[in-house]
Amino acid sequence: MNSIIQAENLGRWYGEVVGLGDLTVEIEPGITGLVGPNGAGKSTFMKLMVGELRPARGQLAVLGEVPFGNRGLHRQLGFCPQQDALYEHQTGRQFVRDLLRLGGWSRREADALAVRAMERVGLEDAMDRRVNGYSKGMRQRTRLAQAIAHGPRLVIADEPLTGLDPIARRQTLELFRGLAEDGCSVIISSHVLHEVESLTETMVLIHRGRLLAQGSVREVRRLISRHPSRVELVARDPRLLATALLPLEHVRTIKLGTDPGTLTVETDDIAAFHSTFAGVAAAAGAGVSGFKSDDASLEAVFDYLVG
Amino acid sequence: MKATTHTEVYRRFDGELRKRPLRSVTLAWSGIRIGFKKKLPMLLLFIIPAIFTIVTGFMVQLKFEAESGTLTNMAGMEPSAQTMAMGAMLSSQLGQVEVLIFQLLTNMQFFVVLIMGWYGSGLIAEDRKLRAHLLYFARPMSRLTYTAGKLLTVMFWGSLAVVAPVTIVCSVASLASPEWSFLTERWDTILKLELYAVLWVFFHGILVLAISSLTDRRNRALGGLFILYFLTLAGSNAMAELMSGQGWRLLSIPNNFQRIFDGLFDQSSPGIGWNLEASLWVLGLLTFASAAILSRQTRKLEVGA
Amino acid sequence: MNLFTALPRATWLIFRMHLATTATSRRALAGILFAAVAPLFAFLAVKVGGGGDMGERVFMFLGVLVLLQVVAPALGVFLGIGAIADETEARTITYPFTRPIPRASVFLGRWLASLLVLTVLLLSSGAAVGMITMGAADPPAVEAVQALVGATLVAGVLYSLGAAVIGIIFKRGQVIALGYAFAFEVMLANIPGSAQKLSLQFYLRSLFVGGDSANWSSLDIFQRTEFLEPAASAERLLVTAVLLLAVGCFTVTRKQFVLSS
Repeated sequence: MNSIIQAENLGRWYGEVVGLGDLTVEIEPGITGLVGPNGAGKSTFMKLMVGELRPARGQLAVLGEVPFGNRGLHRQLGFCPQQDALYEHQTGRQFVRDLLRLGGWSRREADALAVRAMERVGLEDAMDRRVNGYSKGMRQRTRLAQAIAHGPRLVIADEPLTGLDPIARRQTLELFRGLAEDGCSVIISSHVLHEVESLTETMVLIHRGRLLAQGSVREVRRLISRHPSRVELVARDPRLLATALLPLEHVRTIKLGTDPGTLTVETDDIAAFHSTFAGVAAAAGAGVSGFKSDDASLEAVFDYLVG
Repeated sequence: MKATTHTEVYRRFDGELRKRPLRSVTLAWSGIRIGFKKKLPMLLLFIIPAIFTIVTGFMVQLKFEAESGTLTNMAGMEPSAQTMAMGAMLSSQLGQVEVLIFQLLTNMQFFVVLIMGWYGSGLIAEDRKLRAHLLYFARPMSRLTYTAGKLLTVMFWGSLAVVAPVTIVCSVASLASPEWSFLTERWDTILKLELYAVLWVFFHGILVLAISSLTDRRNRALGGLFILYFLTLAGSNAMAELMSGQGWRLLSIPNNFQRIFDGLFDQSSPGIGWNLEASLWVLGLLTFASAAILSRQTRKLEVGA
Repeated sequence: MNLFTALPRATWLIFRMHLATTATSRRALAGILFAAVAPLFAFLAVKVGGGGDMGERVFMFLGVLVLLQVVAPALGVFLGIGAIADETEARTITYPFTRPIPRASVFLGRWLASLLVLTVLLLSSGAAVGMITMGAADPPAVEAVQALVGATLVAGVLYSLGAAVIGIIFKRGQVIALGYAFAFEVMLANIPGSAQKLSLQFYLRSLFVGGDSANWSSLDIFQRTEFLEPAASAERLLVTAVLLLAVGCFTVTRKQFVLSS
């Protein structure tokens, strides 16, 4: 079995509140985005994966093992929690080093690894300052540093891009890519979909504690048959173009836009539309000057699925 | 880019504003509702005072039954001299109602401090921690209104633990007394007891709030309250015993309240021999100090510190 | 690394990690002031208040009424309660709990760090009361001072351990620990009858007065009580401590700490 995460009928409640309903999912190695709106159950799923919580029902295996209280598994895991909490009296370097020491490293090894991790997250200049003086982004990166410092097989990061400025965000995305190139699997959660989309194609979509979809964004999009794909066009003569496109078998509707020259086409088979559109448009001579098909984006897919 | 407005969000207010809004009551009510949400702590905190109240109520009932002879005449027979004597003895052993109530308050005073500490120590401390005071003082709310709202909240819980038991026991006494004599003839005792209970709650309420305003952690405020309460109690008693000087006992809040009780009901407790004025001065000074702390700390909150 | 080798190592690391923080925390600083109260009272009684000719009486009263009955439980609760509760409140518990260490080591390490600070405070306070009163006429016996300091330290261990366990089990444990130490204990320990034996104070007092009720009778504000022999009392206190440790370790290992994000 190649999966790093295997969840079967996984459920977790907080009193009467359902954190995770009934989740069955398998996650393969590599970078995986765990997406869903706020309150979907992403953080609960992550807390279950790192063994902070126990499932109320179902089974969960992380790297083939049950996570709760599993010390062997914790050696191979790195967890970057969502909550903005650090040991405030320590410097960033001490924080990462002391946590490494708990993993069995000697003081010298731990210090070297801590310095390397802080450099990797771009905090080499600030690592000897106390964390209570760090900005929100620096604190986020410190949390990330402790998660990656010991070279884990799997890094689980809960909303790791929250609070980061655009440059730090790009660096962090680069860091995840680097980790993946080194053979480390990464699971990151976010509700900012385009960020995750820029990092990976592989998604697990959760909504209301249940699995909504899984796979690459395009695969998922293809599976959603009830929602036609939408293409926005700009043409010199939109009526002429509409007349030419309407007879095509896979074109479902055409709407003329309120802005002059615009029209929106809905098609049941986006691939067929792409292959035939150029010929039809050229033959019609409608003067096409714009073509936009962005509803295969994660955002659009998510909108369709969540409704 | 086209500019858009979301006019539907900003609905015109067509109601009528109150001329004199009771903001402190609104604030207090919100605090009280939060307290009611936590059922288990409420149960745990109030169970002991409830038991004490029931036991005292029972004793008061017993006292009046013994006095009237119904206790010894349950079988419907005429009470003999022996049973009458027994009833009189039981009645005298149980003592006066006000003494029983004072014993009730003394027995449960630590629980009541715990209750007021639990509900009151976070009232200002947590506002500061969560920066909620920025929201409060962004509204037309004065420091006095804010403090009054918080004081009403903590006094509500204190009243449930002190004023309510006193009222219950007085009601039992009124019902159990022949021809409602406790109510009709000793209404001044009831009034004094209620006054004493309210004074107790007010003093402890303002003290809890003052301590709460000094920190941003509820636990620290609670700890501070306990340290102040118990250290002064134990220390003053120990020092009074050692130095044979009753003046040391003035350091303790419960001792001063005992003196006030003695003054109100013409009692004389052992070891409490100082002037009533001295106790009133001590408690007055503590109240003034608490109010001054509250004023200073809420001023800081008002300016966003 | 199996549990029996991993536990002491991780406990030691956690202890070292948190010792400095605990020692310099606001709680410990407040604890210093609090611990200074008993010596201050002793000083006032002996040097200022004319109690210079009754060293033993001053020692007994302050030892039992202030040190054993108030200072030790209060410091025990305030320093012990934070062992796990502080980490939960600060939401940092995720870090040690996602490391390859036994969860119990977090509880043990942090409690031991608190205990060390607590021991220093109580030892200083008890020794200072002993020294001040020994300088007065009719001083207490050295054995009595040793017994009081010993009983106070044992009180510190038990109250802090109890508070630490309560802090694991309950979200707002401090109020329960305070309620126990200052409402239930005070009630149970000071009413006549067998109910006294349900309080820690009874066994601590037994440890202090050494089964000699005459010693206790010098405290004329308390009622006469038949105490246990120190060995029997120590045995029961040890069993209580072991039970509390076991409950603490077990609970922290099994409990799920739900933190807000």
